[in-house]
Amino acid sequence: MIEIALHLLDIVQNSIMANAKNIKISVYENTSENILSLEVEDDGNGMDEETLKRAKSPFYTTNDVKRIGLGISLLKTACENAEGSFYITSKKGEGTHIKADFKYDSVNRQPLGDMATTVSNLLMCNRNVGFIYKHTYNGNYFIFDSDEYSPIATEVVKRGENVLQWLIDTLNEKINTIYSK
Amino acid sequence: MELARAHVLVCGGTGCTSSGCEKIINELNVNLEKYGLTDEINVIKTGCFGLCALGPVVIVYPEGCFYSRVTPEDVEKIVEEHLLKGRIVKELLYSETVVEGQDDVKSLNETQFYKKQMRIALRNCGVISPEDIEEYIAFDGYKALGKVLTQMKPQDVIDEIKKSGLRGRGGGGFPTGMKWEFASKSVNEQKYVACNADEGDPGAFMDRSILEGDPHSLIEAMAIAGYAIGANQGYVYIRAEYPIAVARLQIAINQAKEYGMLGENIFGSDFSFDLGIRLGAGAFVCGEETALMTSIEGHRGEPRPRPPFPAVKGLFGKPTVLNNVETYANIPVIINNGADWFTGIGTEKSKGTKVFAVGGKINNTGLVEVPMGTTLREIVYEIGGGIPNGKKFKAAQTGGPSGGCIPDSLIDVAIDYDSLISIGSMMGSGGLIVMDEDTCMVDIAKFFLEFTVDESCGKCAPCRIGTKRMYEILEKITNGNGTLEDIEKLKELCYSVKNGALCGLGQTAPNPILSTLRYFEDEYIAHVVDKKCPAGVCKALVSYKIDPEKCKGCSLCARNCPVNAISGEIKQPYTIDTTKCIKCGACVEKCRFGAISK
Amino acid sequence: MKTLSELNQIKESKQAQVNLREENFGLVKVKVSMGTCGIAAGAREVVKAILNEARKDNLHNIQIFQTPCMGKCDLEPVVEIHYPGKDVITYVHVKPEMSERIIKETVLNGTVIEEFTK
Repeated sequence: MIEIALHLLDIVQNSIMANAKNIKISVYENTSENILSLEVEDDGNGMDEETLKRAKSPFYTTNDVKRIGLGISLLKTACENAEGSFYITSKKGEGTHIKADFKYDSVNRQPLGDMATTVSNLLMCNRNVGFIYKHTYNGNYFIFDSDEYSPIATEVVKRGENVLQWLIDTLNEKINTIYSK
Repeated sequence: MELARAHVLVCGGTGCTSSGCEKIINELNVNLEKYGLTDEINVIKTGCFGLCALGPVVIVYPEGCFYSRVTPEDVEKIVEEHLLKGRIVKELLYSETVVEGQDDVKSLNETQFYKKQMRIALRNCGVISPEDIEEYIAFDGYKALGKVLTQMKPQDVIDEIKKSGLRGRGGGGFPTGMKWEFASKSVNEQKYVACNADEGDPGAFMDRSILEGDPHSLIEAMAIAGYAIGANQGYVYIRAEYPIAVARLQIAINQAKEYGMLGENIFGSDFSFDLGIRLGAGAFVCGEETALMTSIEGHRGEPRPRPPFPAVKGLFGKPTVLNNVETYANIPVIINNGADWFTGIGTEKSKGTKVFAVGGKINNTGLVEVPMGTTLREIVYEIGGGIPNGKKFKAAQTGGPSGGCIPDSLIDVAIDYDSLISIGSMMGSGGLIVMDEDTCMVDIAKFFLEFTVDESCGKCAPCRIGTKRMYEILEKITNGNGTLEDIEKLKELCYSVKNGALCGLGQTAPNPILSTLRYFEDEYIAHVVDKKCPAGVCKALVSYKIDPEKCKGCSLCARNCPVNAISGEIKQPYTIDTTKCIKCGACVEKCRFGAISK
Repeated sequence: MKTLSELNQIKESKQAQVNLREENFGLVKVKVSMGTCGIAAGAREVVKAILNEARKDNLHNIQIFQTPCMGKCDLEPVVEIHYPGKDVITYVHVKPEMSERIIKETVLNGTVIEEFTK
């Protein structure tokens, strides 16, 4: 994928398919620590030990239309190529936690990409799920909770405005704020 | 006016009302206020959705989420999670509509129960509020009446109904258009339009659901009928045991008058029409057309000989069109969509759809409407969801006390008026009772006869005396005292009553017997010759036995026997004294080793 | 009420309120394939374009879903349109620029755009 944000979009699909009701997305950027960390935590079906082992394989998928599942293995390869590390833990009935660390200045690290569009996409298409998006840059951070945005979005709709655009603009504003502090 | 962003439809049919839908509506209103959503969300009480087995039912639009078996405690969750946060509450959804891993819900129309149905008479039930005439109008209500009064002549209306092939849905199956034509051709200053909403068949609730869910469709249809035959007064004869239906119909009539759909010069034409309600008083025989009219006239409900037929000499001696509720429910749609559209549905001689009240030993009890020609197998196994507890299908009774049973060997019969008659049953008003292997067919015949004996008005001897004698023979048989001659006598009686009775009640009373004899004669013979009831139902012919191989001598059965009929020693097989045994079955329930059987 | 036109007026004003209940009025469901293949091929931008286009036309009866990979990875991005009463319409190699026609022709009217299906 040409953006880390697209890897995120991919991994979150797994959480959704696992019937997660709440998904925590966390992006942690720190130039002095030389790390960019992407974390996804969900309260979906989770996996037992057997399945967890196989999940990292590109040949494992729960989709019965095909025989390959590249999401996790591509992300793992991407962060390992950027001299980082990949962690995945899961408990059946409780959920799954993925952490992908990239070396910030690695020449093989893709750009983070358009987080605003990615998160907005997820929100608009999965109204059933609660998302908490936390983005930290060099110590400055913001937290965006989809439950809090719901009533505001209703107001936006009532005013006849474009919710998607409003969402993207709002998120970009927050992101720019923490980058510029 | 602010448009609501979501509508919450709560089923307010009698079934769901008795399951507590009022409490649910209260909870909804309380919670909507609590979360400040009253301006954005409308709560509407509708008529029956049809899937009564899953009541109380709540549907949220625009997503079309079907929440089933809702309790008042669930309501807060629905308001907080779904209406406020937009998250569908998956645990409360009708399981068949859940789509794993996605926000989506499967459309109701794709579920087993609704897939093969075609809701025409029930089109508005569960969709609109029956107490709001404007909602009826929003869904094309009164458009047909407007069309008829401004663009068609009375004969045009009759021709259209004739062309459609609509047949009476009350059970007789008489071509409606033809009936209207006879009445129209009868010359008289005063004519009447009447509606048979007596629905006496046990287990039938099709008409009730239409009256509770879409009363305006009846009003519109009766006005159209009045215009077609030249009548300006109509009566709805509705049984008093339907208080909710009566109330809703009265509200609808009042609203129709307010909006000018009833009264003088409707739609500015010369046509005036008024509608009144007449309550029944608990007599099954008043569902018969001549008895019904006699009752409206203020006399005791007794049938009259025909001819003359009601279309020539009916209510108060004037030409009258008397049709069933469901028949009327089809009229506005036929006028709006055209007779050709209607003839495209159903079989060659039975056009359109039929509403069935499916009950008995079936998973999805409720109201279904299917095109004529649908097979019994589809209704029982696909729409009905099969027989519970893995039991085997034995027979289905159609037509109530006037109908007959359809055995397993004929389960692929395509249901329409003529095919059912050819196998010894009849369409009836639409009650469909499903029976499994644990049903005794002789007992069923006895059950229906018991009903008929009670309801016989007594006017004619064949019915008054004949049904009682038939019932007595059936009692004899189920008590273990029957003989083969009794069966022969029974058959003879059936034919005499069938041929001699004055009205449909008597003429069809023998049908359950004749049809069970035709397909299950072996059960009758087992009762009289072997003195056994194969299904294990008739108490007198059933004896309980303890299997000494399985019995562990735990004495649990003996301790629970209310008449102390079981005796034995601990750790030794026990025995039942059949002379004391009252066949209550308590011992079978208590035995943990399955050692007791019938 | 005495005339047919009065009846129609009542019908039209009430219809706007009860429209969302009709099964046939129903939501047009637009499903965008969001498997790894879809995302790599640009599905994110397709969703954005479709949502924006729907907003432009003031559409309230459209519902967008992300679905897992449907198996036609070489045809991604793939968009399925479920128009009530019609068979599912599948468009392949969908680009953001195609969203205007998709909304105006398929979502609004149920018309199939043949070139998009190949």
